[in-house]
Amino acid sequence: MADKVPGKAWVVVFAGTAINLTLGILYAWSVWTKQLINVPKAGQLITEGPAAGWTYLTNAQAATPFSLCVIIFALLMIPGGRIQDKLGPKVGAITGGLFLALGCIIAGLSKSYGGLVFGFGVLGGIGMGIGYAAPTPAALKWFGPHMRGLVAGLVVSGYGGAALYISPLAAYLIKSGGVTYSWIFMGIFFAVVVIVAGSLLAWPEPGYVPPAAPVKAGAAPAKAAGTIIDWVPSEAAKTWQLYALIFLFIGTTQSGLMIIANAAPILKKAAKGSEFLMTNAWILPSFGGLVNACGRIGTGKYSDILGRDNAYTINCLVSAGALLLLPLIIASGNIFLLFVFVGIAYWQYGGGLALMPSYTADFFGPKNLGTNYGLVFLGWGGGFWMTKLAGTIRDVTGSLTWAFIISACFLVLSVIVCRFTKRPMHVGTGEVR
Amino acid sequence: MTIDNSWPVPFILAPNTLAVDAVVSFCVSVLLAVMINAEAQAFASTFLGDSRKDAKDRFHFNAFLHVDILGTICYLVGGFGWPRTMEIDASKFKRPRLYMVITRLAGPMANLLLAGIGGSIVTFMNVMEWEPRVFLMVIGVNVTTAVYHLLPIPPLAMGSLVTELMPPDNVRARSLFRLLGPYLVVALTLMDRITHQGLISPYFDPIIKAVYAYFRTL
Repeated sequence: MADKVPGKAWVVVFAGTAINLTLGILYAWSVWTKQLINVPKAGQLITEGPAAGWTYLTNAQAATPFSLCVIIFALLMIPGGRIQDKLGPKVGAITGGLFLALGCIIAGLSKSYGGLVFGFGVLGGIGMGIGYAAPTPAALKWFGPHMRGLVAGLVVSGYGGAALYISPLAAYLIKSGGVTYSWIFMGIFFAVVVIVAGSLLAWPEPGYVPPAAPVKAGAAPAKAAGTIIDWVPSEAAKTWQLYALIFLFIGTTQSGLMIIANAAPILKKAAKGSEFLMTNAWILPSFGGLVNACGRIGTGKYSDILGRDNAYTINCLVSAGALLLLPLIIASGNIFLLFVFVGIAYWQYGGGLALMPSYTADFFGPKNLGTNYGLVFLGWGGGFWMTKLAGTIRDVTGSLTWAFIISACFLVLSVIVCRFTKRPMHVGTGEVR
Repeated sequence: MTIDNSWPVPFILAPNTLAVDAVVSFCVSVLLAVMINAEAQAFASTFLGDSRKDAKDRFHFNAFLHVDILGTICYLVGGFGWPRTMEIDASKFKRPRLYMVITRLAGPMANLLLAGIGGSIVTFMNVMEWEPRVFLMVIGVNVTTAVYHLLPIPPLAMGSLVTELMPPDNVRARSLFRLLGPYLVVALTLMDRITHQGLISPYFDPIIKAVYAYFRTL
């Protein structure tokens, strides 16, 4: 067993981050639609400006390729995980990236709504689904359980971090060369990045044992001890722990989305009173992206040191506190505090996305992580229930206070579930703790 | 947001609905509906006793492997359909006939669940002032699928109730019914479409519209 992680492992991690940085193009969608939306003129040809040659879109049309992209992304994530489990991460990442690149180029060349639906919605969604599943599991295979949190955080931070650079880059390209030019440029740029970064992704050689945590004399044993057995998805689906993980995922997602959905519009309104924020409008979206990305890395890092359960507990309890105070903060309209609270939500939402793959790897082993994590990811879909319930509560009681309280209780419940959930023991091989 | 932006429910492919965004949204929604329907059956049968170690047709969550040819034709013709029939060993169940029906019914129940998730996403998007029309299509297709599974012809879920209630010793009749069922459903739907004389749709469409309205406006 080697003492140190080979340099190749870190290359894989950063190649994975680079790939996710390209896939995060989803976050920049509004930069393009801003050029194209014009409800009264919808359907007419645009004759001047950067979008000349395109036709104006309605709001509904502008949202359609984006929604399609998200759904196809989710639909293909599990088959994408299988591609990476079977054929390796190079195939997965490069295929995914090339689908996305091709989609961007088609969207650019078509100059039409149909082209956006097919190029960005369908091909882009396919590309993201296949590509997103590749880098994280590949990088995790190189590291022992004590490093998983940090590594998963670094890789998935690329997706959140993409919000930071793609919007300005796309805005610049549209200004300098027009809408069509920006799509084609992005397509070629993505193709180059994924081919280079994708070919750097690799699995360790068979028989590779990731280095264990350095054991100091008298130190407590590593807290994040994981299984050494690789569970197949159908076995994992039969353990109650899988459903507990899905529940934990719902817990982190619901509160994060809840605060973001309700505090972000209020923040936007409050920002209108501040001259500084109005002149620097980019701060609001970038803030969310940055904190989201930092939350992924930060939570990953301290989950390695403190253990996943403790990291989850800290994130959730802080969020629960934030939720209980949120009605007061909204009433006060203090911009600084609103920033802090929205930041907490983004941090814990991003942190959940970094914690869950590591949890899944600890529970069910790294080999089938692609598919197993796909199952756990279903919990992300469940998180939307809370915003729905919040709407109902607002209609009945006239305020969101009770929705925040219920959401906070749900978080505390998730923490309790988390404290009681220990990784399952594999029956077939007689694994014992 | 006004209702004008959304698509007709139940959505049926016809010359007047053949816009690129509508067709793509419909196909994606169908894949989602088929996947969730099949995996719910897998889950229910596993839960009720028929657990399999290395089953290839369960828990892969790959929509394309769940697609059934006739079921898909039915989606294209009538806006509803079914996934490839999942192999279930009823002899492993404690109460084979009852549990078999429950397992098949898990499919449409899951479609309703997905419609509910879609509904909460729509609410969320309305809060954020985003256009939720693709998710409205997801709700519509799932509700349509769930309601049409009330038709008592296999492979639709209620069809399994009829099959299980048939005399158990008459194996031939049951397998014949199962074999011909899909063709019968497709034929009925085609008749409905070609003749414009509603055979099934006048009874089912109001239910679908009511359930859809519930999920989209809550």
